[in-house]
Amino acid sequence: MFGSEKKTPPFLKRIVSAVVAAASAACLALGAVTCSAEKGKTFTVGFDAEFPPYGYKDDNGEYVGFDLDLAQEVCDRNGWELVKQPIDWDSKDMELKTGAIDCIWNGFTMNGRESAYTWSTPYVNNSQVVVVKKGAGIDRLSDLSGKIVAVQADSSALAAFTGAEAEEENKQLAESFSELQQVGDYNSAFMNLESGAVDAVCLDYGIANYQVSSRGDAFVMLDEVVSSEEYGIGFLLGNTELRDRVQTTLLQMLDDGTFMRIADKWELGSSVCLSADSAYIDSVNSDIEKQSFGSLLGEISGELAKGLLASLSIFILTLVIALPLGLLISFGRISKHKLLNIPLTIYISIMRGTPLMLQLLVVFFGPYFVFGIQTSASYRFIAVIIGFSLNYAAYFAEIWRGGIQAVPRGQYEAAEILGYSRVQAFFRIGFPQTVKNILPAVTNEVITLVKDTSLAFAVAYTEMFTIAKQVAAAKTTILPLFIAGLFYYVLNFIVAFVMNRLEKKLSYFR
Amino acid sequence: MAQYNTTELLKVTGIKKSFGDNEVLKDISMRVGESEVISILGPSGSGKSTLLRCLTMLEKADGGEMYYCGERAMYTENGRTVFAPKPELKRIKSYFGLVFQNFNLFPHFSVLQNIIDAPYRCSAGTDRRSKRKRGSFLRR
Repeated sequence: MFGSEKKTPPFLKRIVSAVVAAASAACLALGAVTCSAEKGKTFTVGFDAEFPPYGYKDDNGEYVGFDLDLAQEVCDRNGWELVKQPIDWDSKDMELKTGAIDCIWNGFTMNGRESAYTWSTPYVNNSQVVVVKKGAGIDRLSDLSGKIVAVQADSSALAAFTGAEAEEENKQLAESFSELQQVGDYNSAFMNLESGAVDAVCLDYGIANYQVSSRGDAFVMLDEVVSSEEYGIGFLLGNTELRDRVQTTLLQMLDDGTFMRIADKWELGSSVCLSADSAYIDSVNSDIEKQSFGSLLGEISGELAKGLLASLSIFILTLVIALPLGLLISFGRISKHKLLNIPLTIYISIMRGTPLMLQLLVVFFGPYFVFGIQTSASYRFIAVIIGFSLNYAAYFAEIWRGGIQAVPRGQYEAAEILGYSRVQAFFRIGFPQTVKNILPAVTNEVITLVKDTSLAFAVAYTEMFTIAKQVAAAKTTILPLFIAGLFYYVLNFIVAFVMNRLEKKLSYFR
Repeated sequence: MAQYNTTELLKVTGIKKSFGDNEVLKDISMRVGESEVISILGPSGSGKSTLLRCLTMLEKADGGEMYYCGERAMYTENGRTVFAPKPELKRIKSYFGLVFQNFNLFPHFSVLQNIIDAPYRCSAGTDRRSKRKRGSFLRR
């Protein structure tokens, strides 16, 4: 941590260094840099690793970018060690508050956030622009009426449309959209755009430039801009000491030409605006009204309740489809026909062996990127249900199979002697006992499913946890995540209660 | 329903059954008349259960002929075992019952259901809803 040089008595040093050596690996993984007292100061930069050209992972797996190069130069000149800490953008305030990072240096928009951080002077002038697919017939902002427009969650583009300080003109523009779709990252936004799931993406000029030039000429940028804005380096409110040192170093770099050299390297020469005479925007805290805890709680719960409906519909539809589908698949698995047995075994192996998140992406983007089929906007929800059902059916199939095979053979023989047909024997004798056998395992899966619904964010389907993350970012508090946790817990408590009652009801004498 | 041949409830001739190379039943012939109680004795693994399973068609015998109440349930043609046609076989199967070594009661049925299911299935025919009929089985 910056400014935390400690004096350690010599007799303790040996013990400490042993401990530090052991702990440093863990510290690195956590992104914490508090155990650096021995090795001089570190300077931890928090950034979104999917934000080229400001900060991203290059082909060699290294974190690189304009901002990271600047930060490296600043550290070199101050004798600090640079720690590049990729963060979840929604959690940036938490990271800063807990001291896990020293600053947010990542194409960080100042406008609208002036009083939330201690800022450097702006160093990049960036505007919000709109990118569309070439030949889509969208030439100006007014053409976006009735279209689906994607923005990154908690991005400046979103703030420009719906934020508290959004211009009236932009608010009306956003109203005219058929939908303002929030996506997790720009890669996903452009996959959505390419597949036709959204009609336009609104994003920062620098990123738009980078994305359009690196993705070939399939996309065009509109000439009209939604808003103009500036980037600065955000420090924890009140940390002027660190801000001043970084700022001074930056101005030195501007003087000797290093700053422009780095800007040109990243083709940002035209958008940088650092100058010695721009004044600090110093934080004015007075206009942030303090909300009472009760009203905050109520507001957050109200927001989450909307998402709960989306989560519940995923949950219920998945159960209704996956349970019978799993039973059918288990028949095929038990069957001795190789044509049924082998493909189903492979299917189950793949479904259980790969992440559900990946399967959702494949189901959602597959139709376009594999078969070239344009999907409609409502396909997002359908894809979520298909993905979840296919995945859960695989698990349920194996549970069903275990349950069916656990019914003693003698039961079927007795049924045969009594004159049941094979189908009758299964549904009247085998099936009721199978249901009893599988209940505990099914309860496990159902509870996991309740929590897994949050994975729908992978295809930008807005369910409860996505909303919780968005509200947490907007209100800069971790509270929504805990309330969401409480909602999941209550839901699962009900599930466990119902399943427990069912188990008791079926616990006849054996 | 065909007239019961009461003097010869069960007649089997030349029943054979092997499991792989292990020949368990070698040319068994027997008959059971009305009111007769027949015990089959033998050490463990000598084929008592296999014989019963063949007779009740839980196991397919490898050869021989089998008649219940004079109706042919199984015969051998060109070295292959052939059962009677399905509707006929269903009727023939209602002529006999089997009590298993470990009972095999249906755990999800009530005691009443376990008791009445067999006679109910065998004779109730189309009148499946009649509670009184079930009751009359119990009183007997």
